[in-house]
Amino acid sequence: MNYLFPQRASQTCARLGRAALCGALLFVASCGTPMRGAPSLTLLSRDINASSPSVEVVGERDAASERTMNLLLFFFGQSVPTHEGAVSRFLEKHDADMIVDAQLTTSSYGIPLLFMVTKFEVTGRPARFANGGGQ
Amino acid sequence: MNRLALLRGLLLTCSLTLASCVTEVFSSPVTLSTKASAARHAESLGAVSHSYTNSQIVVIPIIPNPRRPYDSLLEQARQKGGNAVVDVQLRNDNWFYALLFLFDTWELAGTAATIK
Repeated sequence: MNYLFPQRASQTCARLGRAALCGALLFVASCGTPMRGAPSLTLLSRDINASSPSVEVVGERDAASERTMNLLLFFFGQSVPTHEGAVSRFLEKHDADMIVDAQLTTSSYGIPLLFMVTKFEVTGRPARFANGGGQ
Repeated sequence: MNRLALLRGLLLTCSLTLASCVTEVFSSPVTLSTKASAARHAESLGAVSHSYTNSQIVVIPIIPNPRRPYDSLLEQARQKGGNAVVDVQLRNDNWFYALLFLFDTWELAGTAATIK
């Protein structure tokens, strides 16, 4: 009987090794993004709004969005859609300094794992600094 | 038979279809900008930061996010006597196990400021 023990031990070790290998393969640690040098938002406030004396609203409520679609593992549309991209597009469109009464939403719909659409949208009113402070 | 297969396929597709899911980033409307000139006349009052982790099993959150991170930054700025946060930066780390558990950590940092 004793001569069987090393064989069993080696089989157990092999099984443990395979299990550890499977575990290691299944464990995926994704890299984090570093703190960006460029700010994502240069201004964020609730106290500065459309009724502030330094703010001049220059247009009606509008919206801008960025979206991406993925079919299985393939991506279409903006490769890295962000709220910041939508905000920048909004500001360029209205030649504004900021967006007041802004709301940012992320929406996604589709068939999970097969086809998904993700949309980053900003809605708000374009505004500028009344005294030219932001110019 | 073909109709039955078609019906089964349609049923399967319908069961897989996710209704549109919308998430609001801010709890209430804010004023924001991505232009460098927007924070030109800000008087700095010090750094503010906030971090949080979202944990999910498949797509179901197991630890709900207790607070909205941007609200925390604005509250910290208000405590410092400011009315805005400028130069907001983001950092994201995430890892998952066997496509089942997802841990998503976000760090936000900015500068509390007064803009007149």
